[in-house]
Amino acid sequence: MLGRASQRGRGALRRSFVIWVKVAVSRALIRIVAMYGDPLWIVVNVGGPMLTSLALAFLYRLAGLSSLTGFAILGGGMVSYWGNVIWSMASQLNWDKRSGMIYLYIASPAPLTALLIGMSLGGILGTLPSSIAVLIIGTLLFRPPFAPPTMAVALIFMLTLVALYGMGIALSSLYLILGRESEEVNEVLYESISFLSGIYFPSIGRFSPLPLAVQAVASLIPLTLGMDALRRTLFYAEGLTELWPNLSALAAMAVASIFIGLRTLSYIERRGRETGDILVAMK
Amino acid sequence: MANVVTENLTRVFETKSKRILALDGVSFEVQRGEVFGLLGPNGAGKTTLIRILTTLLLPTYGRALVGGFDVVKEAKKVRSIIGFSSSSERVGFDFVTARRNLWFFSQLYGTPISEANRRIEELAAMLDFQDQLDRKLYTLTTGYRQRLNIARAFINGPQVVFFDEPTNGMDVFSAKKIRELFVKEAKTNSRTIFLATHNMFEAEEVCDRVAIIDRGRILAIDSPENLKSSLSKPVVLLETDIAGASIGDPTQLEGVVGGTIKVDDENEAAKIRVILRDEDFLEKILGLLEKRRVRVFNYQRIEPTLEDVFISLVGAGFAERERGIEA
Amino acid sequence: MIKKLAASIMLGLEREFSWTFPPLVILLSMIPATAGVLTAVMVYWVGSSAAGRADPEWVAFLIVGASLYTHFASYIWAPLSAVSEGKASYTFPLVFISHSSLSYIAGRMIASFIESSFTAVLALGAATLSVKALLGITPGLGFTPLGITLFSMGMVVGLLAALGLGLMLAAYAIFVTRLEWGLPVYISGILMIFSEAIFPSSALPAPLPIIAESLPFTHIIRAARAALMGPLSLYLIELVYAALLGAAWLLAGLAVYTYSERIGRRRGYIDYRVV
Repeated sequence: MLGRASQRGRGALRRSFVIWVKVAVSRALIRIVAMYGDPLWIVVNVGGPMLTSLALAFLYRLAGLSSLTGFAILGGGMVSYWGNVIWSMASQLNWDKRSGMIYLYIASPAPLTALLIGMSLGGILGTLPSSIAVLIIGTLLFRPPFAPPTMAVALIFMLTLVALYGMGIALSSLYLILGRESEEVNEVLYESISFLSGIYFPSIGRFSPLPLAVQAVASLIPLTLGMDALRRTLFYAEGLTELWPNLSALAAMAVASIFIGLRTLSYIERRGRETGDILVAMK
Repeated sequence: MANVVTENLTRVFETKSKRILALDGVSFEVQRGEVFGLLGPNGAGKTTLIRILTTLLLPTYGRALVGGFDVVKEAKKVRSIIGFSSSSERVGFDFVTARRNLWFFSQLYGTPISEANRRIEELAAMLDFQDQLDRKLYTLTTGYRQRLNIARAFINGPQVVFFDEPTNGMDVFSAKKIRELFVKEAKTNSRTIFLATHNMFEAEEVCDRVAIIDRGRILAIDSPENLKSSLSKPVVLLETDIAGASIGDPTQLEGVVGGTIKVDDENEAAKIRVILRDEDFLEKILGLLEKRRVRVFNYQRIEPTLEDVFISLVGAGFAERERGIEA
Repeated sequence: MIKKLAASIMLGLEREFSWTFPPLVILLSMIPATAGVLTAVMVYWVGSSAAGRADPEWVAFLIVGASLYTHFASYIWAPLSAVSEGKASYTFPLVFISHSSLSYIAGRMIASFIESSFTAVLALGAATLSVKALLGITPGLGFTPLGITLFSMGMVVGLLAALGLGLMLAAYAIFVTRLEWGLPVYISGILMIFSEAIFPSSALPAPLPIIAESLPFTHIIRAARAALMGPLSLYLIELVYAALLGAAWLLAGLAVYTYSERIGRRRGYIDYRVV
């Protein structure tokens, strides 16, 4: 009797796992197909980060140190991901709410966690061409002195993306309670976090021009730690032994933000079913 | 076997200033293979009921079972056996083909890929959009997008499919195709089709049974024929000049159970549709109209429609109800 | 014409401000603008400090240029909102039928121009204060009554160029059917490089400075710098350049828009919706 019950339990668990994987993969694929299926997507995505990083690279050169132009080029490559997190990840559920798609997700057995993870995966892979294009164009034009890429760079890059998209998951649940103002909130977060996290300049550490208190606040943003670690490996050839505090903090932040995001999401969904609040976009 | 059961289902929305009773003790059952219509004016509670049955909203009191599962305690099980489509939501992802969109929605239910592909072809054939399957969504015309929206609701082979105003704003040809699909899916595949609509013609044409809902309460449930034949009172249509519009609420007229007035400004005419307590009251109404200098061009007893059933139950038509005119 | 323009300005202002508490709108637009200005300042400061030649004058140069740049980068979205969004809501075809599209686009541009002017001025002030707090330096900006008046006059003259660019973007918006935000993003980036927003055009390799000189936006920024940083003798020259080039852009915008509207009608784009 107990054996049959546990077999049933295992069967249900397996079914849930299969659905989870299928949902995550299909959501990622939809995003990738949408982006790669239309080359214009890549062209328009490259524009903002590329021109901004070129302008800031000019500024670095004029300020006196051509060797620092790499900060601007690296920033251009990474800002594409931050843009993707804020515009296509954090605000996606809000957009889905406004367009009515969220009801299809909630009324299906698809776990929202799988949708968000799939969206992140799709976002990372879909943004890759724009990010690489900015890095290549910037490097060709300014020839900044990059240290040869190492395993440490790859690890930091991946961990930064996990933490960044984890932040996207946390934000996406919060965005569900926003309405028309979500676009303005996007702008506020995009520029403020771009500034504080030092995408284009070191906002923490010994080269930071910011006061310690501001640096402390900036350190709470995963992107800040990721950018700092990336700059230190790529331009100052530091290795994992020097960067382990950044990496540990990034890993902790990634886990915490994904956990908080998913808990908030399930709370908002439950509250929405009770009050009908998150369903306001529906007739 | 009942696929949808509601028992004393009640939903109250509370805001700072008011308390709205959206559903008030709703109880009914819908069988397997049945096309069931929920007919009522806007604001009657149709969408709230569908939201509860599709697990999007919790009831305040009462119980609802879909496919034998409780919508509150077993929401996940309910979700895996239902399909849902509303005219108000977006069809899918614009930069992705119709086929890929349908495939994505099939994966939300974990449908095996070969099975999903088979259903996509089958649904596209039934709704006549096979040649549109490989086009990106943004290139599709409104009619094809709407068909895709309906196909999506069937993509997981659901036991119960809920539709909220499915043919709203749809062209006649697409609407016809969709109604045929509803009947076929119910009768061939024993699915329950649950349809919330304020389209009387649609309810009459496809529904095995219709529940008439107003202000959160079910007023009557039966087949469209039985509902109409239960209306023993005479329904009369009077065609008058524009002065006919000035009589106001028809229920104020002696012997009138309920009625509607439609004004045709362009032709300076009005159509007064009244349900009389008794045929004898017709003379009195004609006399009253003459006294009020309303010219009556024509009057005749007509076959009742479902709206007449609604009028006889609440005293006013859908339009008047939506404007808040009390019977 | 005047009535149509006034109605469109009112509509635009209502759309910009009335979705929530108006001061909140200004605050929400001022924060990203200020953050953008500060990013440019920090990039300069990090670079120049490392080279041992950090200069507060340069910071002032950046604050003025980058603040005005946020103004341009903000109002260039108005034509898309008027035309592309207008197609989705069917407002634009109705406006077109009523023979009011030109006043409508101009009105929406002016409304957005007003909103972003407020934002830019506040960002200028906020960035100046932030730089003091963060870097401990006082940028040499003369916020005197004369300086502020001249700065404001420069902004008003900038309306000509804004309308010209707005009409050209509206022409583009008639034909674009997807990813309509692509071009404004590129224009923002191009303006950042060529309008002297964050570095002098002379730093660009030849013959690129010619492009910078032909943009009214470059002269608007130069006039603003002259008003707040001096020398005042440059102000009038730059203002005249800004006005003349702005008028040329406006005329070009009018011609391009009118032509595009005609072609758009012929090819069926007036009510063709954007994805």
